[in-house]
Amino acid sequence: MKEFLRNDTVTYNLISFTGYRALILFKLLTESPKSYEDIRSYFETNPYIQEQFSMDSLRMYLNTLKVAGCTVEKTVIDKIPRYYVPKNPFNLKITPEQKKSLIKIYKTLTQNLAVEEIVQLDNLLLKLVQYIDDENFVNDYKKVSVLKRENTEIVTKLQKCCETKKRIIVSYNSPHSGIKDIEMITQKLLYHNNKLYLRAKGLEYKDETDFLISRIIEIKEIKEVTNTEANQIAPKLSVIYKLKTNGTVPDLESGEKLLEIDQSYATIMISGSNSFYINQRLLEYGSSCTVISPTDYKENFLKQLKEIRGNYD
Amino acid sequence: MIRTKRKLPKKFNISGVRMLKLLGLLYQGDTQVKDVIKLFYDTPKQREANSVHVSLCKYLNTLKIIGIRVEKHKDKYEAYNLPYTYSFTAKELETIQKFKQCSDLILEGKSKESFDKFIKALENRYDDNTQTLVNTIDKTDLLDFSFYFKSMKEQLAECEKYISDNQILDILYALKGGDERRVSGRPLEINFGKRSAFLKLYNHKDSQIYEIALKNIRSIIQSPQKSGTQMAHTTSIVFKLHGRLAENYELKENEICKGTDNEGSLIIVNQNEDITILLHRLLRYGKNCTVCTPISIREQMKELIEQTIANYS
Repeated sequence: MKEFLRNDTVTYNLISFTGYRALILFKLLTESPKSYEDIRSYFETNPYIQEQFSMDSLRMYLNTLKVAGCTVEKTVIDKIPRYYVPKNPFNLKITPEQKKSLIKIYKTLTQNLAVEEIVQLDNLLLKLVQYIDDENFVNDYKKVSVLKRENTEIVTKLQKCCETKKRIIVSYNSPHSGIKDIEMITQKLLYHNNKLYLRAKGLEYKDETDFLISRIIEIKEIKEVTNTEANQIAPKLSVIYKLKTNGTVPDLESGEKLLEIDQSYATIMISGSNSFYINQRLLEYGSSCTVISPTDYKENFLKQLKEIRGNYD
Repeated sequence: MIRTKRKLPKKFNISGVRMLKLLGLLYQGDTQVKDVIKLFYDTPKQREANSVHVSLCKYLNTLKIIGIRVEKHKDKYEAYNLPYTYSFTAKELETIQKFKQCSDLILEGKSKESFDKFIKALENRYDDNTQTLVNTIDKTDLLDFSFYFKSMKEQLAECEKYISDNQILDILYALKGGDERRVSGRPLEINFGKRSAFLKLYNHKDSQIYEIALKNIRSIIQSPQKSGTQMAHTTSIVFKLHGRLAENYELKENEICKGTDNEGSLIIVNQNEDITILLHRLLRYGKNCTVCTPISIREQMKELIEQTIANYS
């Protein structure tokens, strides 16, 4: 044995030749379908084997691969039967507990990372799906995937467009007006309420809008933005509201600024060009929140509350 | 070569099977020497200790001549240069690193151990290029939110223990607006959100689920009373979505759609969600959402809206 380790000289006493033949056959059949002739000639010329390989021996070694957990299949190419191993026991395995943990981590990361990173998480899981030896894993992954409705190719293109704030024309399936072309200047991707959005300056209404990416059918054109267009800033809405916190510092979202805090309330200013999200954020607080200014927004907000109440009359 | 009696009627080579099984164990990573030795204990002759070790050396030599290097570290074998490897880019490795770092933050005990094994098995399959890339990627903390989870590490471990103890908990916690609430119930699981973790509790008295942010917990008393393992039915909340929201709504994991009513509103049944959290979420949908049943929850929603309106009187 020491002799072998020193000079790598192989004799029948020092290795398992049967084991070696099984490994070589496994390697050959996982590469591509091989005929008996292909295998025989490989074995005859292999420096460690160099011997005849009968059809009976081949059958026995194919059984060996099966007993070890491989799937061995036969196909006919050019009228010659060929064998191959489409599935082997060395693929990455995942236990139900590991799957649960992987999904738990994925969900936590999607709640806490930027959209670009979330796209990378999804791309990685999509790759692992091919390696993991578990047919159910694809469905388990699809159930939680952030990109389950989106075309990943479109998401990647939009991501690149946002990096350099490109002007694009997309074909968009609007729930109101059906499929139409929209021209916009891309800003950033957002992950909000388990959906992926593209924030962009719409050139038709000159406002900043969040477009649901799953509704983008295709990106028709990508153009550079002129300096004038790039400098056009969409009008921003700033709302000041009071939040009952009993002295604890509230969690602020991007676009929010803490103006004042006392034993009972925090006064916060929220700014953004999308009044829809400002509305949603403030409504969700319920009775803990009171809008202070601007007056017209406050009146509209109260009007909305009364309309909601009307649903329960 | 042996002929088996009933289950495997075909001829196969036991040495070939053993060789492939050994390879399988090495793919798992952290391969225990004792597990490898067990492979050689299937014939009376091989039960002699010397014979086992001689055979084992033969198999390891066989792996060596096909290019697999196996090293023994204390009671474990580590394999290098395994065939059938996976290739990952630097970006993908960085994402795997994020999965690992997040697992350090949110997994505990057996779940953590089991997930580490999965990662180890994946890393064992890296090809040469990937192995080289691993050394170049940033190993520092890649998660900007880790601070939040690190600060609640002790609380997380404590809650995991409560879940495994399966005893009734009496919890005092702060609500969003700062008011306090006391609730008792069986701890079910920990969920993770944006920079926060929640303990999910089932109260068998009102058949409701409570999701309590760990940072809002003021005190926990563990009662000696063991909780049953079965969870009785929780209250089902039925709500309707109207207008544009009905067209775009994406069902949550704990929701099912019961079709549409005569006016085209979508009927949704929600289960297993904290009712306070649910009502605040539904309030966000404005006049496009109405809670239907149970009446008590519909009244609760009405009260929440009225309290919010009262802020402006």
